[in-house]
Amino acid sequence: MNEELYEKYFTNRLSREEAENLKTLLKSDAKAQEAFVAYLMEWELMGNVARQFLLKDNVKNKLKAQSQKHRPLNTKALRVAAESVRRRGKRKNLKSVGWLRFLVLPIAAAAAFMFFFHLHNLRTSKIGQVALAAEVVGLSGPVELVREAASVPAQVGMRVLQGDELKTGAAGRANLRYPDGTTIELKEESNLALLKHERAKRLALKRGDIFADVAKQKPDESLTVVTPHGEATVVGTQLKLAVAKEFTRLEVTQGKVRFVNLDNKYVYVESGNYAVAATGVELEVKPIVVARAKATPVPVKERYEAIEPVSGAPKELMLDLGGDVKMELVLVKAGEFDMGSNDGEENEKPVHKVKISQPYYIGKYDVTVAQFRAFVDAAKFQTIAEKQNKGWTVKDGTWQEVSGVNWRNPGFKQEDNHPVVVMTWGDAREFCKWATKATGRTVRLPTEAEWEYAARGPKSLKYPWGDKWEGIMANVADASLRRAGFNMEWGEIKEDDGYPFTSPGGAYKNSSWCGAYDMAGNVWQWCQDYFSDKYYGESPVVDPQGPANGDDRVRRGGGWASAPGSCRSARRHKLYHCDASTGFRVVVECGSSRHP
Amino acid sequence: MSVPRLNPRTRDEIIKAVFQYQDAMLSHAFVLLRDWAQAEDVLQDAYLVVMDKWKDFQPGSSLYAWMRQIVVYKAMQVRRSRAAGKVATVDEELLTVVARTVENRLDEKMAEIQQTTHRVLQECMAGLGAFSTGLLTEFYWQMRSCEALAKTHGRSVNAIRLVLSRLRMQLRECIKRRLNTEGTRL
Repeated sequence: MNEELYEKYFTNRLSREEAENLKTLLKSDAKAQEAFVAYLMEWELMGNVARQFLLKDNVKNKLKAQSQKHRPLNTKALRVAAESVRRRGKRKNLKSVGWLRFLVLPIAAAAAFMFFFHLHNLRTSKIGQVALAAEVVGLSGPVELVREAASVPAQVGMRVLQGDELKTGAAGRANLRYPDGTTIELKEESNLALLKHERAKRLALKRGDIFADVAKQKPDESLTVVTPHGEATVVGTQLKLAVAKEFTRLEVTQGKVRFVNLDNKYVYVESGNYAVAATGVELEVKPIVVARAKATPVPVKERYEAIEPVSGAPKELMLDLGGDVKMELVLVKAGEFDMGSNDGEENEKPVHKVKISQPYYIGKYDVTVAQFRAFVDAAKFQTIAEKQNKGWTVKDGTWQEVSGVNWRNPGFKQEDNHPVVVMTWGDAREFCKWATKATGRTVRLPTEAEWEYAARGPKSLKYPWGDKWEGIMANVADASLRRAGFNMEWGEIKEDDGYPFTSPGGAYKNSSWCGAYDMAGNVWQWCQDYFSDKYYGESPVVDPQGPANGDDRVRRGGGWASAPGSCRSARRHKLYHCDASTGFRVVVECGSSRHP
Repeated sequence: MSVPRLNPRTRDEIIKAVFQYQDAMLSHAFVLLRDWAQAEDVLQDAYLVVMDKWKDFQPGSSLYAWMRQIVVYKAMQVRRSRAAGKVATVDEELLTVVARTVENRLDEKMAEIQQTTHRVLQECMAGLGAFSTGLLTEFYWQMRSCEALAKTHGRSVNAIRLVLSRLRMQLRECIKRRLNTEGTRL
């Protein structure tokens, strides 16, 4: 009987009368006290362990995906990128104590000990405090400085002391600089605290992203970044540290970094290696497999051939879009499959044999926000939604055309590795044209046949992973979207992936036979073809290119607001405008020109 | 197998030791906040405090009590900020009684038992099917009521209660059996 009372307490459903009963019980009944604590312990253990079981697979999948690809690290909630460069000799270090060091030189050996002792005290007291404070050197949007529970708007020139905390809003960014030249860029919706320490810089990133360029630190005064999964100690190396919700990944490109996880196990990660800290995952050092980008621009031909040998087509292709932005593609071998479905919509009939005569590469993931930004920045491009200052998104539980919605602001938060959305077919085509120029390869949208073949493979599977729908395999309209207020007409979906809207590419273990992810769910993907519901009755067998003309273009795959039925690989859909659940992926033709 | 009494002195030892109380600390935060996400945030904040102020810990005193103090303080801070500007809906007296009960009863020894049980429970839960694990997660972690679960799974409320009750019994038995095998008694 009491268990029900306890349960109601934990789920916040106690009536006033029940609350009184519980109080009386806990005040006077030792057995009830004991039972309550046992119930609490059991609740904590059951919830925690059961959750770990469900998370374990998810985390492992994500880690596997991370280890197989080279791109800005996966981020759902938190991401740190810290770079410490070994060129500190050239830097002027710590001006405020420089003159003291200069004075030390002529001191006689007999007095040296006393002086050093005095110097040490000075440095760790007043001067140390100055050296360990940072200055705000750049701001955009709303940024808040919190000091001793008081909060003020941050301003350029303001000093950020140990114990202070900086919070950026949705459109806020801040740049900090330490006296030794270390700079930190705090990105949107981030929360960074400067922890108190006598000698060293210690930072705690609770949420959001930072990018740090860290000057060389003394061995016993290393800079430490504390994250929810552990901490990385930086002495003078080049590294990247990325924190996602469930794990932290450290990549080292120069030197050596000590990496400690929450179990207090640590490893030294040396140049060319990475390690991941996550609950239930062994902390170990592994080599970074994919070649890193070179610092200086490399001719298109060279940078492409460095990855793809001239003879034979490798399974993966990496396109360099410039500015350290890359795009991974996977090989789709030539072959045959049964296109369409006799069980689906009328426009999917009849099932017909299609032959793909040439191999091609298809995007391993949908085109991401970062990749699209590289295009927009380089080409000074404006999407249709930006020009019209409106786009379709989910608002108040339904689809609406909303003012100000575009790929930068689709109506929900997007990270760099989320698929770009709110773009027309024409916007996607412009991206392809630019990417063709930028990479020297023929980059374009897939034909409907190419898309379906990449999703279903020679066995013509119903979904990318098989013939049976599995809710955990794709980002569709689920409980998380319902929680976000979306009115789902097709009823309750019990899965809750925590992604109400788009998810990062590779977040689901749903790769198709050729290794392409999110061919079902996440975002609809534009195809090259015009849409015609009669086309399957007349399409050629070999490399169908779609009707010669039409009003709408085809989109495929279903999105985050779709019902499972829309994620069947044979499902066809048409669209004219653009919306927040539509993105695209590209194909690259094998053997296309390697010259710009 | 009992966790040996801890008497850490160095920073590394202290950090290692506090993680051995993870479950109990989460319980201390959760019982006050009744929100897992906030309780985890509190625990994370408390770890940051420990990493920063480990020198404040007096060797020989109870690390558990020190850590609990930090966690409870942080949880109260969160509760206060959560309540700021809102009409009081929480029975403060009830929370005080609950906090006192847990503080008195969930001591270091119980924390050790909880930690040991955690390990054994992992092994026991590995024997459950996906539906059972999912149901436990929904109930205990997502804190969905039996009524909501009944609706989701198309069963009656009583059926859900029965399934949960059987799962609890099954897991309790499994834990007892395994601990007995290992020579540890709850």
